[in-house]
Amino acid sequence: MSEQTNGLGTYSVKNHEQAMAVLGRLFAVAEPGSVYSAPVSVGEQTVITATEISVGLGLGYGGGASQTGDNGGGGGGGGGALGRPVAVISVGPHGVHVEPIVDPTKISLAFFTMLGAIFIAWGRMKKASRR
Amino acid sequence: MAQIGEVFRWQTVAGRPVTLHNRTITPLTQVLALRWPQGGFVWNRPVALLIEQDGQVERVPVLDITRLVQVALFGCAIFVLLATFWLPRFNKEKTR
Repeated sequence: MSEQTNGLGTYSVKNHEQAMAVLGRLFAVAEPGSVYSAPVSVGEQTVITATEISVGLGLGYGGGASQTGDNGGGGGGGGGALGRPVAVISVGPHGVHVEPIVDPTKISLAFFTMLGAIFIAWGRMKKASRR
Repeated sequence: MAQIGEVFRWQTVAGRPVTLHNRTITPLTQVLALRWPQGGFVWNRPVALLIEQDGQVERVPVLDITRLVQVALFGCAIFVLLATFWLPRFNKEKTR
C-alpha cells in the first residue's frame, strides 16, 4: 500500500524482502532518465528539462523472544527526496540552447550568510584593534 | 569513475540519445551513490550534452548557476572568517 498526500508519501512493507525491493528502487534514481525529462515539442521547438535529484533512505528492524516464549519484532524507516530544476534545454532548427534556471531564494540565503560572516569578522577585527 | 563494490559509486553516465532536428543529443549525468545494508543515498546531477551533427561532436555543459554562486558565496564567507582568526595572530607575531 502506498499513499501520497501533498508531497508526503508513506509506504508500508511487510517483510525484509519488500524493504530491500524499496531500497533497490531508490537506485533507479541514479539513471540519467530521472535527471533529463522526456522531450516536449511545441511547434518547431523541443524542450527538455534538467533536474538535480538527491534521494536518501534508511531502514531498521529487529526482533526477539521474551522469556515466556513470545516472539516480537518491528521496524521502521525514513527517507527524503529533493529535486531542483537546473536548466531548460531547447532544441530548434537554429541550434541547441541551454538556459540555466537560477534560484534567487537560495542565492539570497547564501548572500546573507556571507554578510553575516563579514559582520562577525568585522566585529572581531574591531575588538582586536581596541586591545 | 570510482566504484568500490556496491557501496560507493561516483561516475559520469550517458543517457539514451535523442535525435531532434538532425542532431543526436546524448545527455550526461554525474552520479554519487552510497549504499549500505539498510539504506542508501543517491545524488544525480546533469553535467553536459553531447551534440552530434554532421559527424562532429560538441560538448555543451549544463551549468548549475545557483550551485556555483552558492559555493562562491559560502567560500567567501569561510575565507573571511578564517582570515579574521588568522590575521590577529599574524599581527601579534609581527609586532614581537
